[in-house]
Amino acid sequence: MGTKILLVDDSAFTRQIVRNALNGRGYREVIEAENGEEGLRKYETERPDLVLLDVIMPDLHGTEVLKKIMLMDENAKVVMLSAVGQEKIVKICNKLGAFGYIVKPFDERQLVSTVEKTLRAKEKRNRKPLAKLTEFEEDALREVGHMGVQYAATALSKMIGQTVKAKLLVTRMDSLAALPGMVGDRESIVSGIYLPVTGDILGSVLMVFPQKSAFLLVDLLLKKKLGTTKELDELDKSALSEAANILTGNCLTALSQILGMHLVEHVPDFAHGMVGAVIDNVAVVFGQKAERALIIQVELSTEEKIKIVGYFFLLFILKEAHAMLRAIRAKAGA
Amino acid sequence: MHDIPEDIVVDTAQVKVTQAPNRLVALGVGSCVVITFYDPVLKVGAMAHAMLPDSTKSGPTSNPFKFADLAIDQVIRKMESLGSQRQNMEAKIVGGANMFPSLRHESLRAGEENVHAVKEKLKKDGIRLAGEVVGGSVGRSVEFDITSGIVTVRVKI
Repeated sequence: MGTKILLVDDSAFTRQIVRNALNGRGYREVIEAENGEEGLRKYETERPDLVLLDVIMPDLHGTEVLKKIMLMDENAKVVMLSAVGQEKIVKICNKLGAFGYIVKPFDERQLVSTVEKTLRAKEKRNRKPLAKLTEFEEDALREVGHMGVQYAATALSKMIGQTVKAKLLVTRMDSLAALPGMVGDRESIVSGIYLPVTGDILGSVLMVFPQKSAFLLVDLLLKKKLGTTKELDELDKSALSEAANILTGNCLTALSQILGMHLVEHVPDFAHGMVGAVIDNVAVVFGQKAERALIIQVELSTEEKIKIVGYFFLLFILKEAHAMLRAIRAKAGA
Repeated sequence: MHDIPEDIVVDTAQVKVTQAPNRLVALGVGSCVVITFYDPVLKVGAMAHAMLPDSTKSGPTSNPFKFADLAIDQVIRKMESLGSQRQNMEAKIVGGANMFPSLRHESLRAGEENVHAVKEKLKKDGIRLAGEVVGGSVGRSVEFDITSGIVTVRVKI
């Protein structure tokens, strides 16, 4: 596989110069983004080996983009591009985790040598390991999750036209690998809905319904006689995805309000199959960054005494959990 | 024969090696890749259950065998330490599915890359690829019988 370089700069002129220089040195895979938002989106989908990032852009300042990329991937290799006379920014960028800095106008040799040096660098200098959460902090996160779930139950009530009560069975910070054991075993069949979350915190939500609960939920959502659904067709999958989308949206709205943070969910992806397989596929996205997640197991029960069990996973890298806690503290102190 | 066959489970990021009459088992494999190694001469087998394609693109880890390249290195080392010779080893691979076929989020596309990386690594190390059941969007369970060398793949949907 070739080296992938993401180039984020609003100037088409600069992009062309950089692209030509890199292509000339054999770097064929240069992905371009013309603003900060596009850069972030492309970072998420393309996972480049290196990012060249302009400091001054119309939508988002380069330092903001840098901050978000580092939250997404603490191993990211980002080199800043900017005009002369911005030494203050150099310091800020270094602190935020930028690997290097290229001042415009630059010559080709300088650009290529910085790129090569950065690609060769195995690893960030003295990255401090993050502290684990204390019991108190985990409690605070649980409380936040609890409130989010109540909002989600209200949303589901509206969707199916009857009162839904949410009972929390489990809330804890745990490894993603714990999930299959909670559902049954790695071969248990589940429906999983994955939704990335961006905004002030980067992470994702995974909702998991064991097969029996998924079938019951489809019956309720599509107003079928209970017990009708025995396998999922496209419409059923779409109904489950939409339900997860709405539940997550409500839950995130609650979290946004509680934390005073801006959280945005993205379109859902749907999976059906062995829980071990579904979980691992999501775990891959996080790689080693999210070995622990906030796991909320909920039992939703309707007026008709139908019980649906669902698992709601808030996956944030540990650094993000600390960001959430800072927000909780700030709120508590206010 | 007083050996009782044992089923040895290989979880994500693990590498295990065993001899006949045991079996190596991996359950619920999605985008991960399970790599089995067999030496029909010595009746020795190994299984790796890797999650990510390439360790060189990542920082230090407490868990090296989640990377296909490091897991395969370890399998070869373990097989060789039991006296197996590289030219007698044959590999089979299972998994590399994409459990989220709608793929609105490109970052979920992990399976293909895993399979590609494993094949490249085997080629580089001169290990013969004897069979594969990969891709699609289905979870799989794998049973590897060291007595016969047969790898059985179960699918449940």
